[in-house]
Order: sequence, then C-alpha cells, then structure tokens
Amino acid sequence: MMLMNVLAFDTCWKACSAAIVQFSGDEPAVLAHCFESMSRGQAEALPVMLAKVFEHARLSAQDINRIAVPNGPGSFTGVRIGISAARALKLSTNADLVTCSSLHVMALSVGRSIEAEQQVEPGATNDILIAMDARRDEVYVQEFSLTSDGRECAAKTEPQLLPRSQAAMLGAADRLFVAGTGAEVIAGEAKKLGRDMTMIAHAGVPDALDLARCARRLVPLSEPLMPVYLRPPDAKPSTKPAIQRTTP
Amino acid sequence: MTDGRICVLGLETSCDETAAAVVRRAPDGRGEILANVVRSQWDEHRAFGGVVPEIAARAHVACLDVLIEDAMRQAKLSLCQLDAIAATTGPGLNSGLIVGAVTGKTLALAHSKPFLAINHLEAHALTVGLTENRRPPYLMLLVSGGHTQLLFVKGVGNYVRLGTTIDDALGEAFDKTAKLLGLGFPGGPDVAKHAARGDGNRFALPRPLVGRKDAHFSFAGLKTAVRQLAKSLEPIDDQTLADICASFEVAVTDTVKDRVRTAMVLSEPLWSECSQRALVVAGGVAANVRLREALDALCAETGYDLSVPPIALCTDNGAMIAWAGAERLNLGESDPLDSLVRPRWPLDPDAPPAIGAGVKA
Repeated sequence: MMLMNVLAFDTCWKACSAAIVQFSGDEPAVLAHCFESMSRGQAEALPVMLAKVFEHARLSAQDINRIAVPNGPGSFTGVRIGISAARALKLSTNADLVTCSSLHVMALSVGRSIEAEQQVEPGATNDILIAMDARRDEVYVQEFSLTSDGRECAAKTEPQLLPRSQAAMLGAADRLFVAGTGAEVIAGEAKKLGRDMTMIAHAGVPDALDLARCARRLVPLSEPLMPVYLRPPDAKPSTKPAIQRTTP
Repeated sequence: MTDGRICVLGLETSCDETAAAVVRRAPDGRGEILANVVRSQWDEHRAFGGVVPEIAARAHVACLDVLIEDAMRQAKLSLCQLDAIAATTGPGLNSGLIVGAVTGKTLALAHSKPFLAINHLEAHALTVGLTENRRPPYLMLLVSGGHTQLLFVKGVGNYVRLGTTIDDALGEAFDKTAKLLGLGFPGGPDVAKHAARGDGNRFALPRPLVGRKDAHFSFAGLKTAVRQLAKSLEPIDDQTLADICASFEVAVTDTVKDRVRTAMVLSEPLWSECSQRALVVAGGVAANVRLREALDALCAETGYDLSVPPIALCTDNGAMIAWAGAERLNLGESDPLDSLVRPRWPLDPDAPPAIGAGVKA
C-alpha cells in the first residue's frame, strides 16, 4: 500500500489546529498535532502552526499527498484563513485537496464520544445535530447519522443557517443527539415542542486531527475550493442618488 | 538567483483590488516587472456606492491563487525559483489583508523562502524606484481612495510624514461626490468626465485647510458643501452637474496644490543642500488631469522634478508590493511567519497626530 501523508488544518471557529497523519493502509498514524483555543489571531497562528507540524512530522510541504481543510461554516474571516492557506499549498505542491463542513469535523468527534459513553441504542436510528450559534437567533446546523455500532458518521444534509426554532424541529431518528455552541438553545427549544434531544458535551470547535483521520475516505476536489459562508455579507445596496436630476 | 538578481512575488489585497506580480531587481538597483496581474472588484461594489469589506474579502479569496498562477506563468518562473514572497499586511481592510498575508506566508513556508510583510504606503512610496530608478530623497504625495498623505522619503524604511487627511481621503471625496450626484463608482473618472465640460468657476466651494502652516488635508467639509450646493439647485440639469463637478475639481486642485506647496516649505530642512528637489505622486487620484496639470505648474514654479508612475502602477497593484519586498530583501530584511496584519500602520510612527484627526489618520 502506498503511503499517504495528510495535512489537515482548521481555523473556522474559535480555535486553530493542524495535524499530519500518515496512512499506510486505512489506519492513520498521527505524526504531528497542534491545537490551540483562540477567539482571534488565527491568521498569525496558522502559518506558524503549519511550520511546527511539518517540523514535528519531519516532513516538508512537498511530502504531503493530501491537504484537508473545512470549507465552513464559521467566522467569515476564519473560514477564509484556512482556505487561503489550503489554496496556497495546493499551488505549491502536488497534493490533492479534500474538504467537508466544519460541522462534519465536529460530528466525527461527537460520534466517538457517544460511542465511548455507550449511548448508541442498538437497533435504533441515531442522529447527531451539530448546531453552532450564529447570533441573531440563528444557528448553523447540519444533520448526521451514526451507524449502529457508532463508528461511522455520515452527513444527512448540507449545513444550513436556520432560525433556532426551526433547527429544533430537525432530525427524525429514534435517538437524537445535539452538540455545539448552539446545542443548549436548540435542545431547550426542542423541549418546548415536546421533543427530546440529548446534549453531548463538546469543546464546541473542530479539531483538524479528526478531519485528518477521515481524510483518506474523502473525494479529492476537481473544482476550486470555495468557502461556504451560508450568510450573505452585511451590506445594503445604496438607495437612490441623493440629488434629483432634470429628466433629459 | 545566483547572479545577484532577485525575483520577488508580491500580493496585494488591502482594498478592492486583488493583485499578484513578479519583479526582478538587479544588483545595481534597477527593477523590471516580469508580470503584473490585477483584478478590480468595481462590479461587486458598484451597487453599494463604496467598498464593502466583506464583499472585498470574499472576492480576494476566490481569485488570488488564480492570479498568482497567471503571474508565475507570465514571468515564466515556478514558485520555487523565487527569492522571496511579499504581501501587503497593512494598512487597509483587515479581512482582505488576512487573505493576502496568509496566502503569502503559506507560499513562503511551502518553499522555504523569506516572507516580507509590506506596508502598502511604503510600496506606493518606493514605486518610482521600479519605474524610473529614482532613489530617495523625494517628497511624496499619495492620493488614493483610502489614503491622502504627504511624506518625505529619506530612504527605504525611513519616512517623515508631513501631512495626512484628518477625515476623508481624496479619492473617497471623489467617490462620495459621484455617489451624491448619481454618477458611477469609482467616482474619479466619472467626476472628471463631467468636469471636463463644466465651468469650474461657477460655484465657490471651500478650500479646506488652505493657508494653514501644517500640510494636512480635510475633505469632509467639502463633501458637505457639494451636497448643500447640489440640494439647493435641485433638480439639476446636465450643465449644472458638469459645473458642480468642475467646481469640485477646482476646489480640490487648489487645496492639494496649496498643501503640497506647504509641504515643500516644511521639507526644506530635510533635503541636503545640493540635492535636486523632486515630487513623486502616487495613488489613483494621480490619474486626474486637472490635478496633474496643477502639480506640473507648481513644480515648474518651485524647481521640483515631477515624477508620476504610469497610472497602472499608481493605483493598487502587486508590482509595487513585490518591489518593496525586493528593496527590503536587498537590505537583508525579512519578516517572521507570525508578523501581524495591521489595518492601521503609519509609515512614520513618530509623526505627531494631526490636530482634529480621527483614528484613521
């Protein structure tokens, strides 16, 4: 089996992380991993962190076969930091590029903790909602399903931006788990609707290591990597010119 | 390069232009542009009558890598043949600066090349070194959509700020006037087009700060005066529109001429006695013909040489960033991968604050 060196990194939310894993078969070996919580400063932190994981792994950028980065959602600037770095690396190496949502990266680790806590109900369907607070009474949310052994976590929907009340109506499985910075609010809203969602404690940010571990399964992009913002820029088209002109 | 020539890639994302360029600097200090690719975002911002930072940043990230590829192809070089990567890290719009800075740092890291964090104002100030091999000292007038400054350039990395705007930039005054009058964006070319067939003496508009002993600028009041004037004449016909534009241009030109004249006086102690006095103009407003003629006349009167780079190198571009990088690399400088993005980054940190200035100055 050919070796595959994967570099993954994330700056979408209030953290900065990077990891290099090596696949010789399907099982990844972790060569380097850094994770730091931060609410800002990812633009300065990420390039330094990338240098650090290359050094720890004793690899150079040219040794990387696959670059993995979430395409969003997240803070607009945070999403762009990861994508800018990924696109620059793509230009600089022969590596291919894979992506998934930042919520998917979180779902992978949430799925693992559900399994570890033996909360997976055998014979039942188990879904995970990852909900991240998007302010203005909205959440970024995406639905995932867990296989019955809890080992696989597949996206059921694309990530969406929804009002909290609407997000509380998502999910149709026997057992519904929710995690992320918007989880508490969504679980509360759901309760009002008579729906039961189990909250799973989670750091509330993705970790690039989870993405690196699953990167082998992802399909390389054939199109340019584009950010998924889910929310338009805050700008209103300027109204009417202030001065009236005579009609010619 | 082994023959002492250095090749630098420059990235510019500080406002509404995405740009990548490659320049080569010879050991004797002469520069050559190998590629200069610019993508303007006017279409994206036009509906808003001004630059929207988030829209600008989204456009930068969507095309910067494509522009870099184009530039490298035109330069017939691969990234690993570069000697350094330079990117604007300030001053400018934070969200856009981040795209260029992260891209530049990552390229530098991937190829183990030095990274240079470039001050956008410094890049404008050094452009004449690239275009006509002019070396400091010179007096510099920078007039763009985001900046209005008078600088005395002593050398690479050595600047004395003589004047700045205490409110709007000059290009911003053109944009706002155009918006008010229902003209296009950016405002400069449209205002100038109408002004060309107008009577610049028909309306008396203020010449802000003219006659003051410092060399600062202020355009907010002029903008208000134009608004009040136009309101009082509503509805305005085509000739009135042209006359307002012309009167605005004349007021601006008189003001800038006076401020530059003052800066010439203030700069006197900074020149060595025998050095030829020179004025260098940069920024998009340098394209304005009436302003250019006024500066020509002023320089003829005061014995100054006037240098204005070709307009494509006066407006925001990557070549000036690459060139500033090459000049600094030549001095043995480079910047760490964690160097900060600096939305505010005065070239002359020792300059006393302009009286009445807001935080932008």
